[in-house]
Amino acid sequence: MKLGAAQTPTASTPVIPVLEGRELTKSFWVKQGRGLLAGKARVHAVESVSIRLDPGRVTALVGESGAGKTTVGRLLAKIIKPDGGEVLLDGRPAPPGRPRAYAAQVQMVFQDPFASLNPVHRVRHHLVRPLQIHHMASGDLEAAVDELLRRVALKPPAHFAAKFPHELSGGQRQRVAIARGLAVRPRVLIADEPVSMLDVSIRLGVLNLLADLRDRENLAILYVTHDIASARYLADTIMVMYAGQLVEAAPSVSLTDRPAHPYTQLLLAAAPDPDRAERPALAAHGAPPSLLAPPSGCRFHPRCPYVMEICKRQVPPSVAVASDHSAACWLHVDPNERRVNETGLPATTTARDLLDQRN
Amino acid sequence: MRALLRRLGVYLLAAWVALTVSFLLPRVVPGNPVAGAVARASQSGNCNSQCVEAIEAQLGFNVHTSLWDQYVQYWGNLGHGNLGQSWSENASVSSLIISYLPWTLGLLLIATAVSFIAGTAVGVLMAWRRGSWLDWVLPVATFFSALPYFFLALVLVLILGKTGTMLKVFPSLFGYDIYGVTPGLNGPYIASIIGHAILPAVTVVLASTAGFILAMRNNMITTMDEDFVLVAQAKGLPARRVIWYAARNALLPVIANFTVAISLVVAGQILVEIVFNYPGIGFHLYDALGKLDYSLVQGIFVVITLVVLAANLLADVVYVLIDPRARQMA
Amino acid sequence: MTINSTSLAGIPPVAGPTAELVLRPTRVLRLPRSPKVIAGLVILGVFGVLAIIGRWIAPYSPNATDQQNWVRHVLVPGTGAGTGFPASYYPLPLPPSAAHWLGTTVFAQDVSSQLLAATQATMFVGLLAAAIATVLSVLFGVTAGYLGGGTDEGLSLVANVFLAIPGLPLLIVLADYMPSAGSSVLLVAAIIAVTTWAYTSRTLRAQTLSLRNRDFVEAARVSGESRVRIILVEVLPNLIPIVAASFLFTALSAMGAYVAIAFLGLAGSPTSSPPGLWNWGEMLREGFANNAVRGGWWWWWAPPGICIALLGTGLALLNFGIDEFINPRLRAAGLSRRTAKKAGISLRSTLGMTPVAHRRAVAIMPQVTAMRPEPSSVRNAAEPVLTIRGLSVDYGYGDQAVHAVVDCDLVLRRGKVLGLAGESGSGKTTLALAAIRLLRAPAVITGGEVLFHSKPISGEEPAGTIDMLSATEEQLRAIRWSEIAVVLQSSLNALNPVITIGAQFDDLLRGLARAGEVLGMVGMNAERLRSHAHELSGGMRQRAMIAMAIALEPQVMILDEPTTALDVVTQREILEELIGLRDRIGFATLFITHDLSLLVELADEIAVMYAGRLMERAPATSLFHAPRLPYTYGLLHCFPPLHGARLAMEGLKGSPPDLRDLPSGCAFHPRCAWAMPRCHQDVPTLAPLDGSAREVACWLHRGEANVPAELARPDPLPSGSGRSGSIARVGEP
Repeated sequence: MKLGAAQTPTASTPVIPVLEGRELTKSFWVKQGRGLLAGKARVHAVESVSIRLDPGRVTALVGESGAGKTTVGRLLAKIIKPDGGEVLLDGRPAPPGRPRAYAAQVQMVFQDPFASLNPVHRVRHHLVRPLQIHHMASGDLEAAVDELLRRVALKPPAHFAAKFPHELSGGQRQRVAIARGLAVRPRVLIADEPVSMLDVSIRLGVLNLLADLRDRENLAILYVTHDIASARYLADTIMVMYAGQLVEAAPSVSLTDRPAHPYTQLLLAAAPDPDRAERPALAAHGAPPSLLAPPSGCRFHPRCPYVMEICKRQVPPSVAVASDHSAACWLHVDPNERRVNETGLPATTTARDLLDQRN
Repeated sequence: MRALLRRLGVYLLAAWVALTVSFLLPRVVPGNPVAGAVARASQSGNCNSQCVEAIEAQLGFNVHTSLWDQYVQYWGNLGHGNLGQSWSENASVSSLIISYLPWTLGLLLIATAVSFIAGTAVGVLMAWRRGSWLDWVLPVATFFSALPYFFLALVLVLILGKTGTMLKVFPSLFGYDIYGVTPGLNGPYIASIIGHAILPAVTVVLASTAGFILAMRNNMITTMDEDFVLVAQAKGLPARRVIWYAARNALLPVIANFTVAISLVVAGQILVEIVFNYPGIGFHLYDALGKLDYSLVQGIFVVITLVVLAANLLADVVYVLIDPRARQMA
Repeated sequence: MTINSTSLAGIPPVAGPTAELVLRPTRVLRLPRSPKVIAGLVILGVFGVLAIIGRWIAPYSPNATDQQNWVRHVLVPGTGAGTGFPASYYPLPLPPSAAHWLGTTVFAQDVSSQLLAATQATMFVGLLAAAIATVLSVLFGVTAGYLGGGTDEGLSLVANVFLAIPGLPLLIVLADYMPSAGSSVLLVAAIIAVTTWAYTSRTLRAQTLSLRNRDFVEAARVSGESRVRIILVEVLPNLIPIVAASFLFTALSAMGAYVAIAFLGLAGSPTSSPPGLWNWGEMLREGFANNAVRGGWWWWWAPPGICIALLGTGLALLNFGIDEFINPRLRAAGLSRRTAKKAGISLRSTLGMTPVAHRRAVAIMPQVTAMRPEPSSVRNAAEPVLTIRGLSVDYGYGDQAVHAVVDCDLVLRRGKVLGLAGESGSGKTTLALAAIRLLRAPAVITGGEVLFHSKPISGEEPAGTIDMLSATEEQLRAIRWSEIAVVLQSSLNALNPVITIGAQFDDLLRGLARAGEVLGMVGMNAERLRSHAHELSGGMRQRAMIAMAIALEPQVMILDEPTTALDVVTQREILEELIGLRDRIGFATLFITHDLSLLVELADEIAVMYAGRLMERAPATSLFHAPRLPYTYGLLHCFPPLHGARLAMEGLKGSPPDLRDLPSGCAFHPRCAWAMPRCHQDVPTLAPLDGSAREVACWLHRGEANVPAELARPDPLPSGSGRSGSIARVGEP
């Protein structure tokens, strides 16, 4: 399945993405149970996910917990090694391991700013270390720290540099964490749920900061989130993941306005929306499958209201439903081209029907 | 079951390490201290030449087979329950230990059971009645937990023991009245055993209860802050039931740490037996050390290790039984 | 003792990050303020000083003997003049005197001098052994924890094996086979260390393992930090309290072990060759071996024992301090009553009942007052079931008190959903739990009243109003769950982990048939009654919780962030079920959440809290389309819409305030775009606006200033009835 990377680049995006993941696959061995009593089981966390990050653009990776979105972020940051697929930096395969040169290009911001800053060190330490490691600003460290804090709108910088993390509010901590990511002047920032642990009233501030960095510094940003509304607000492109697979990718507005995949529709229907006149009726129920033994074919098929026989057998291909909008769903494949002939089910359902049904 | 088997593996490995250490030490320590012991043993009247040979074989002195062959033989002997010959008692070590063991195990079981139950109960009470007079138990328990067992034993002998100088209530020497009663299934003998066990048992209970109290109190306080306790209160359950819910959960870490606790109690009891001349393996370990009866020392060490490991395994089984999360894996 | 930030751990975390151990460097300095720690430090200090200067203040050498003057000579009976035998004497030790503060031994030695020498040796060996063991355990534990995988398995196995082998017997065997050990302090310490390191190693491993998975370690790795530096600079400093606690614990057990093997005569006696050191265990051994107990010579054997116990107590007390520092819950324990008394509040605190202080008119108000029968026409669908008036809650007592909820009024009506919105620390959970008196120490209800209006259950039982704040424990218990049920945010923690779901229904219902039926109402199979909490998914656990909550068909349901921890689809499903159940059972709902956008869809009426106060209360549609409060307005603009053009949104500037350090006047004024001078000084109170349907606490609406256009939109519900169908996005042209 190719999604995102396979789509035709729009006019505004350059041909070579700054960072690209191709067919990334990763499974984990997890302990079941606790301590010495544990056994092991294999979790198929990410299955053949392709994704591209372009300079000056925010790509959002949206999904429920366990969908594998964080794993994709970590694969791209090379914190973990993929079992299959490759990571390309500027179109060239990134060197194995995680050399410092790669760290200088791709940085990460973590979900919990209460956990991502070391409680025993001052803010200055968190910013000075990356500068020292990467021999940036060898001349005037203090000035470099000041400038970093200014870039994330923590003023006066000297005041914040001397603080311990616990003396800062959640939003300020997350800004420090972003400043740390920016210290090495990376071209890619991977932000893993950067606002989900923050108070509602300060989330927008952090999202706006990311948007600002994208516009001013031409950063390529991967915004990993479970909140599709915030993805729509911040991101240029949204990619939706379900149970380790990409199911849909499109520019954010067209994805949220015209979702093509039944799962994306479900997500949107379930999301809180005060503008809605009536409470939504969910078309599908249940929970994402266990990734220890994912369902065959399309992983969404056990919950899909439009399930067909072929969905149970074959992984759906990525189909272009519009010029820059792709979905991995059999409904969008021409019924004549669905190679497995399913019986007893309406083979004539098309994407059009699906959308009509929704609207 | 897998989990328990795994724990069993750890204990088997621990037993192997302990037994190997006790095999290797006399053989590899520079200057071979065993030589002196063997010499002294052969000079004393109790040990004839056969006995000397047995000790030499046991400790690898004057033995000219390779270390590996000795090791194989050592395990062979252990497999047959043959722990060697005690020269001071002129009997086989295993038969001696079998005669000592009931004293120790009886005392250990009763004392540990009492202190575990009492300590846990007091710990639960302290967490329940926070801010009451029970808070004074805390510093007192701390003091008692810091007291060495044998010192506490000495104090009890002084105050309560018939060999002490103050109240002279309880017998404080030997396992029974060796002059007044005849061993066997008779009333006076059993009464005497019980009477003689009181002070040693009280010592072990007093010294070890404090540890259980503190552990249980801390766990209870942490558990009482859990949401499920809040829900139990929100359900309008009587306080006793709420406490029972919390206590059952708070007990889990205490049982998980039983390993450490039982080692401490066993160590303490060894010293207590010495103070009271109580005829268990602790006292005879001391006795054998004084008589330089190395084979007996080694044999007792092996048995104590096995007893402790068995207690650990028992604690693991209990843990698995009361924690469904562990049970699922086990 | 102060109630500082750590005592506030009692405030239930709301929406925000979970409260976790955060090592605060500034708090390290505060450690010695606990009386336990001070006592421990004093004891340790005294022994430390004695150990150092003991040699110089000791009146004699520990080995010095004076057979003539330092013992009393007693004639052996049957010898001496007139018996025909030459006079023979046996020595008796001397009791304490000016010359010998602690008397003498039977060998005519000065006990105090021995004790001082022994103090030095015992402490030295104990600390040395603890140091070696700590180094060992840090090396093993931190390496295993940080590297994980095979290294971890191997090292943990080693530690577990050492842990399983009983320490003292091993020590005895080791010391026994190494007679030279007696003379070598280092060897004794090393042997003790080998038998005591494993326990702390296991603790450190577990701690390192959890630290390794913390994001700051990951972040250091991402920024290219080297492994060694990560361990030394990022991980180790966070382990300091635990290493310190381990060190003290090991020092205590090392001293115990040293004294024990010395008592057994295995640590080398000062008279043997080569000579060992004087230590407390050796003194006890000599005393015991020479019948000091039977002889009543307590001054000989008691002092070393008391010293061990005292020093041990000192170390243990210090360890308590560190434990309380690591786990603040332990400190809060037992503190309440004393601090409260000091602050002039007398608390009759019962388990599971938040104490009420400064109650007005408790004596006068009868606890149950029969409600006047009302004409049925008055008793409409929106009859109140829970009335909260002027409720105030503090955490802590006296000067240290943090005012978490101040003067809040709420009315829950039958069959209606009242949404309580606010950010973390706004007091929304505190308010709800205080109403049913479920808050734990150090929470105190400092004012107000909470009235529960029970409906007539059958013809016989009279409808009644119960004042929750003066109700007895029995009355409260009778109301709890059967009339007022609670669903908490974290369903994993809310279910008892060691008993089955079915057993938890047993508390409420007789017979599992009904329990299965109730489970069915939330879309769960009755089979699940046999499951334990850990076998269910997050959504299933929350469903089970809800099933339990509706089992007794309560009149009030308090839902504290019931879906925050869940995915959106599950959240939606559970909300659908809740609404369905509400329609079926007809309970009044208090729905607490930080997600205002969710509330707008769900609630009939919404109350917004900020910094412990209710700031706005209005029908949901009114609040959404025509907010009157600047904070509500700002908060509504923090949720990006799912439709329409993408526009830049500003949200709110600044951060939610710290309850311990609130701004003067209106707590929101530093973040308010329309703040006036008065807002800096005076606290606004809730006052009705636009008729009685809504209330706002804001000076802008008191006729003192022109109300900004944003806060003066026409209310879509001037009559305050029913939900409007007209939907227009606020804040957008």
